[in-house]
Amino acid sequence: MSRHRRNARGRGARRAAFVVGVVALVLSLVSAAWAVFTDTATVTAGPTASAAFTSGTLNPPGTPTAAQTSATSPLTVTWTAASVTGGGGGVAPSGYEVFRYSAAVDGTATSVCTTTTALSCTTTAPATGSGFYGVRAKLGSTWIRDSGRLTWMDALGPTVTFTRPTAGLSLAAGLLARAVTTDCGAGFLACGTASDSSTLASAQYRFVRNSNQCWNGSAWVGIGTVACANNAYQAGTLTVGNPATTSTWRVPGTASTAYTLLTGYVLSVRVTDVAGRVTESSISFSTVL
Amino acid sequence: MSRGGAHRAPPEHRRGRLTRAAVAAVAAVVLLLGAQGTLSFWNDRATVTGGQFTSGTLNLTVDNQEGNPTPYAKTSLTLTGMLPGESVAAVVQVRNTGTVPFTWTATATTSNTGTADLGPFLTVQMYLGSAATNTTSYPRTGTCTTTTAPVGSGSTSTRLNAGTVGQTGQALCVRVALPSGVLNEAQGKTTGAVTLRLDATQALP
Repeated sequence: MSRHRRNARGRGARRAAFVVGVVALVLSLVSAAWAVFTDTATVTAGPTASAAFTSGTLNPPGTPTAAQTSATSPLTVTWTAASVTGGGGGVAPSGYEVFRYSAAVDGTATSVCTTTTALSCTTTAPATGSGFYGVRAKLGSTWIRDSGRLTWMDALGPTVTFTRPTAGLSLAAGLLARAVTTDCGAGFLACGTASDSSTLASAQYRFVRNSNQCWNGSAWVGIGTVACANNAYQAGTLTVGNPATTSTWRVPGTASTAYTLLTGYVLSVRVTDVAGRVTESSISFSTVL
Repeated sequence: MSRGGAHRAPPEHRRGRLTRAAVAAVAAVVLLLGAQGTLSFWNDRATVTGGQFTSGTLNLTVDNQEGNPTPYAKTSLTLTGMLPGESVAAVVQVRNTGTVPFTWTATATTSNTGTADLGPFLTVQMYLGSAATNTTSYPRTGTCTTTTAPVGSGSTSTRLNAGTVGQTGQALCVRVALPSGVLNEAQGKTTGAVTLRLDATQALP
């Protein structure tokens, strides 16, 4: 049996070798039949192959400046135009976008305004009293270039108004006391508003009667006391409004206690914003019979 | 089992064998000699001359330039200071100046030599049988006027016969563009190359 198997195996091997030989012969004949002529030409673009195509550049706009016309006005950001190199010349950016950043480098960016060709735009000043502004030039839908960043600080103090009493008022003491209580609320003897582009930080007052007495929050005190020290301001109340840049200041005290004499008064109010900018404002008024 | 002559053939037998061998040898010699005489014959030779054999030629040219081994520089296919959305187009004329028909493929490649290279941002389009137009003011735009027969890079095989048709050739419009949505990083690239390779292969009957 084993001899038969060996013989059968030998025959199979010979048969396989024969088939392989035939296939190899056929393949060699076929490849010989497909030999063809070929040619190649190479074309390089441009007179200088390595620099046939180069790209232009969108150059950055100038670092912006920012200004406010009043304490409560918006911020006007201004910059110089970005230039474009390439495109055959005479190409202008397709637009600008102004961002306020949370830091001088990197930080979070907030878009505050966009323009097409104008080189300034108006935006709200930051309530924080300071900010970092940058301008981004755009070309097409994808190319951008950022300017340097401006560090902006609120340069203007708040605007202060007097609700009651008002400047030059001359009123009977009793009537004044009732008017103040009506307009400012019980527990206050003067009030007004303060506003700024930045959030307001504090309100103080200096309230002087007859040139020789000062209000300490609950009573009139004489020269030589702390309340009457030179340029001494007392802490008032500041009720932060909504938005936070508008607030109400008040002078604490009982109106019927404060307004009893026929005399003249000078009320000075000092309001400070978060940028540290201070506004002092004074009015004079009097009580009569 | 003695070594004597108990098994040897009788003398008359031995003689007969020797005789037969001698006769056979003589007969062989006679036959050989006779055969030699028979193989002698007359002969003649005739040589035919004439009928030369030469090979055909396969030759592809571009704008009547060989482009091989020295590449052919298509000087009009260039655009510097490219901005997004700009492009340039040029036509090369592919001709068959040989004697056999061929099919050809075009393969376009862009350079990629480093961070200063614009090549990776470029796109190349090719169209068969098209003219080209270009504008010179921003955005500079190159256009292949006919786009019905796009030629895929290295994929489409186009036949070009020899003779008059081959001499007239086939126009191939090549358009190189910086896409309008190209990345911001494509700014300020100072190098950039495009190479077009045309491969012709003999067309079998």
